[in-house]
Amino acid sequence: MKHIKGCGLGLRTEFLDDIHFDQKSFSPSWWEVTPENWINMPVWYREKFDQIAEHTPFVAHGVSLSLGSNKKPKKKYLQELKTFLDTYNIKYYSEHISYSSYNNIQAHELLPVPLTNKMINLMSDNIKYVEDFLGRNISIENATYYHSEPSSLSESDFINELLHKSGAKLLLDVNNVYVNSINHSYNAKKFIKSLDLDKVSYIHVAGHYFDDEVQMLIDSHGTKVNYDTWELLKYTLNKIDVSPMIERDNNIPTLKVIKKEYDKMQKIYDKRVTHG
Amino acid sequence: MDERKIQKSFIDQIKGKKKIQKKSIAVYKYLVHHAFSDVIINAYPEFYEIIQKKKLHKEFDKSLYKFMQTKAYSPYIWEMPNEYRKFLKKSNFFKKLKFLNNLLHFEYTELFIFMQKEIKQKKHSFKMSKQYTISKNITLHKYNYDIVNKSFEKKEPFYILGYFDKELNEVVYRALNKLLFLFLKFIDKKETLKVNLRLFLKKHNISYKDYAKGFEQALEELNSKKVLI
Repeated sequence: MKHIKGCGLGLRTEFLDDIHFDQKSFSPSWWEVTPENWINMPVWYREKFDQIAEHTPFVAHGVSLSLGSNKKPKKKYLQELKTFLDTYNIKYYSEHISYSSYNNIQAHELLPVPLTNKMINLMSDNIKYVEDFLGRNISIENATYYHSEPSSLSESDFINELLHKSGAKLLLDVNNVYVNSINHSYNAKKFIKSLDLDKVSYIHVAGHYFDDEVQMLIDSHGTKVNYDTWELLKYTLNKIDVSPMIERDNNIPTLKVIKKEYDKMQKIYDKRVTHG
Repeated sequence: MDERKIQKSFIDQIKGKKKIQKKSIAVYKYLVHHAFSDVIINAYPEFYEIIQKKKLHKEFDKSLYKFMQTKAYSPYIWEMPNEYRKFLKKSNFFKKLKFLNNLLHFEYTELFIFMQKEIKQKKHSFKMSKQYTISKNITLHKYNYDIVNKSFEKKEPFYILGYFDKELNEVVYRALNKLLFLFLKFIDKKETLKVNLRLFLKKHNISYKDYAKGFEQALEELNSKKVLI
């Protein structure tokens, strides 16, 4: 991700009508797209999507490969994914440290993996299989988890060893770190410090909320980015020179509204670049 | 430690196959159920209105969990409603709703048509002496009820064509007469339309002379809408 510079934003269909290509119009430095949402896009989105791809670089972030699954990702889907990445000249692809299907049956949710050496081996095999197929080095994202499966390793040891063994890069989601740190009572900054930061490709930030019923923070991607997540982003950007981006998947505001958040992120990023 | 057993047990709990053992697992059960029900309800608004009217929430939930456990294969969310329809077709969750498969099939066609890639082709004048085929982007189906008007009282055949109309920027449904419907299904792309029509009318003992003009007009219009390509 050394070639991607500046700040990114998740591309959502809700933004399409407000994206223009004159100099006065807002555009992030790059867009992050979720292939599952765009591989089979509705007819009226395709033309605009193609225009955007011509003007602004794309980075892809998948949700359904299920790298922690007992089955390898299906070739049919991988081929569709590769075609999509090649068509739009997307060099960077990321997925999650989780699984979302078991025995090829989907859960459509990112589920927590047991943090064990056996799981590292399984995930490394799956990552290498995907990388060979796609012809790309991929990044893997630290996920939120609301339940801890029986484990023999700490989360940071698991992530570092998985990065080492698989050769993948880390997509560091600082909002996920914050949410997990509160839900599982650990120090977020210490956690980030314990990760192999040289391997970070880029950073995610997103919004979360506190759920009264389950008494936990929920990583909803449906609200503004919270103060604590911004603080953690500042902390992280003072340690590593990588690009951040905002993910928003629910309660999606207008592009004009999310631009305010983007500008905030840009200021943090610029400050880091100037003084870092 | 058997990771597979751990994962299987977790999946069984969040998909309602096993009793939830921890409160933290219940969060996932809620999230997964919400992800599925949200997609199904949005794809099938008419179906869900019936669920609400007839108070079939329990059956709906049971069917959803069974579907999640067994038949949700596609990584694409938009394909999930059709997988659910196929699953319901072979199950007994809504025995009294005889029209259910017809309704779900019809409601899904809108999503199906939306998701198709546009077929770009140069404009040519329509000629019966050329070869044509039916576009893969359309739906052409015989329903047993007046599905467009959501009338399920009387069982009778309705032949419905669905396609994306670029000028209107929306999915359009048209009721066809049986003969035109059968002819569209009959078309062999290796033959010209004229040959196809002659063979078809002969098969149905219908005079070519009397019907050719009417067919030609209808087919030309379908060609302009990219139904016949």
